[in-house]
Amino acid sequence: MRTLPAGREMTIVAALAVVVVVTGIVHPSFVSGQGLHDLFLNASIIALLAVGQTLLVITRNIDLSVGSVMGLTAYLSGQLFLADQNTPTILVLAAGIGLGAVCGAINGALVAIAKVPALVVTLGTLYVFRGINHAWASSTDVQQVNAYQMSPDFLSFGSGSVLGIPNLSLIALAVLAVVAYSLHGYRAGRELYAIGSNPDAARLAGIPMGRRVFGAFVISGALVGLGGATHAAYFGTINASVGTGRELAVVAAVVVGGVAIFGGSGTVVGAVLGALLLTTITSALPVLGVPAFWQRAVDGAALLLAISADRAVLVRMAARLRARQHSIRSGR
Amino acid sequence: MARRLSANGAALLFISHRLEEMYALCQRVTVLRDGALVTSAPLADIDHDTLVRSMVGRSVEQLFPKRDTEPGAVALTVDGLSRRGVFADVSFTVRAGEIVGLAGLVGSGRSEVARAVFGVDERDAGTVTLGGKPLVAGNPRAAIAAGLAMVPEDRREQGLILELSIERNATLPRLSDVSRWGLVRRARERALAGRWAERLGVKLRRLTDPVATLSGGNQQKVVIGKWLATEPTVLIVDEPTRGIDIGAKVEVHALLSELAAAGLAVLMISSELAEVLGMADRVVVMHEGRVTAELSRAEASEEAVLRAATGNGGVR
Repeated sequence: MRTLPAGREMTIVAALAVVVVVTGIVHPSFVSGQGLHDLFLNASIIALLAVGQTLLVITRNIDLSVGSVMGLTAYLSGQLFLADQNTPTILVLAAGIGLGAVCGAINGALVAIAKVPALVVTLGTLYVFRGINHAWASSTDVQQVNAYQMSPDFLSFGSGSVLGIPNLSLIALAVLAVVAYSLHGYRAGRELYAIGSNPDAARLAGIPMGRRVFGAFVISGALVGLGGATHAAYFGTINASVGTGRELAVVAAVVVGGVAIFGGSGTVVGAVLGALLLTTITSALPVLGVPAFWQRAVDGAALLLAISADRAVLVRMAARLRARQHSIRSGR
Repeated sequence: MARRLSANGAALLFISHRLEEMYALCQRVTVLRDGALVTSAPLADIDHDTLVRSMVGRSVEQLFPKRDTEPGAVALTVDGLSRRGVFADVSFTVRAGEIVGLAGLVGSGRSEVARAVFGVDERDAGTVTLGGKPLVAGNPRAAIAAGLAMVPEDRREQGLILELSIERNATLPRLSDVSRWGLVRRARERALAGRWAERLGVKLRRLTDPVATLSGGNQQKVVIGKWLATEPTVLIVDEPTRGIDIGAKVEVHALLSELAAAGLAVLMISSELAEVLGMADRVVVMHEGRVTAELSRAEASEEAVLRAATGNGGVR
């Protein structure tokens, strides 16, 4: 299950330390309490998305529609406040989770029941969900919802913290803990790894593959929905293009975090560390005087680096396995 | 190439468990067993049976330690099973306590029949009845629940998840039984895996090692163990001893024989004629997707099976 084990998490932590220390030396306020606070806050939403994406990538699937689903659920939050500015925060979050789960269920049904490859399905729904978002915006003539139109309770939830830890980071950590535990402790979690690792053997072992993959899409969708609603709470400004392009950052975080793109291995802890690393690099660039437009390039470069590293490890492992197999075949 | 090398005066150490190759190539043989030297002699002085005995520590007759059993009630009935372009109108039964060999050349549709019976592949026509109850098509979960188990042809591609640990592999089809409310109970999981690893004599260091670190024979034992852990009434084994050494082979044969004696119905697919003749109570022979003969243990000779397998008029 952990073909790229502990090493990966430690590598990310080390890389993280290097980035933080170097940037901290150049610009000490980067590592001040406020600086770290902002860092965690920025990483929290992307971490939620990365946890969900990990569930899918483990099963050899992928969700490219996460940016659009996030946009749609954030926009829903705004619309709820326009309908009633005193909508309870918990209700807004629940609505985001619900709508996200519905979007996930649509993706999941197309993948698990109609057997269309996830890459194709979610590339399609990326545009469909975004289209729905724009259509909704133009039909109601609401291009933007601003902080003053939202409830103060919702906004203070988004920017608040407990004992110095931002609320959003607490949510992300709680989700991470629950999912990480479930993946190893629960039957369904184990079966996700089996499905991604060897679909033939998983099917033969009687694992309900369709149901598991569908479930992974729904849970991932729900987490993206939570991400969309918290995005609204954090930024306080919503339009129809929230989350555009986020899918690249999420997939990059997951892969950098050591979740094998061909399925079967990786951990959510790794994925969240990957999200934290990419966010930190992105935040560090302007501090170090690198123009902001390089940020995307950094995501892409990190993705390539991670995939090349995985590939190198894999080639070495395959060679080792071959050598082993050879020694077995020619007598024990 | 080996011959050319030795003709050029090179000394050659040839390590293999394929005895035919040894006799064809080598002059002297040295046998090791369990890490100790057993014998070392010129090959001309040592016949095939003696060589096997020194490798296994048993005589050749014990290669197929088949016990006589009294077949019980019909456990598995396959009737008129067809899959377009693959096999047609395949019918046979397996009784409790019986080992039925499914023989035929590679490509005759044996494995495909097994996959359709188990529900990994769909079927176009025909019925599968297990313990008197019809089995729904195309649903391995239903098959497992009904008491069917299948050790597939290719253990690396279909039988095991190589990255996963021995215990996780061993308990995969039975996860629902070691879990409560979906939560896997580690102690139960470990106990189940440990019980079967011990029963089958899997040589391992730790149950938590990846299954890929085991030798072929021990991997096969894990596959067999994981299916026996589901407590089946009918066991399908597809090439149970392919690519494993002769010692493990004997152990697998002894195990199958013991299981049948205890009342399990076994359907054994094998390309090794000696294995089919040595282990099966009855032999069903296929040729180009059709059953061409059904032979009792007494009728099943090498010649009779081969004749049916090549389509040259069987008994039926």
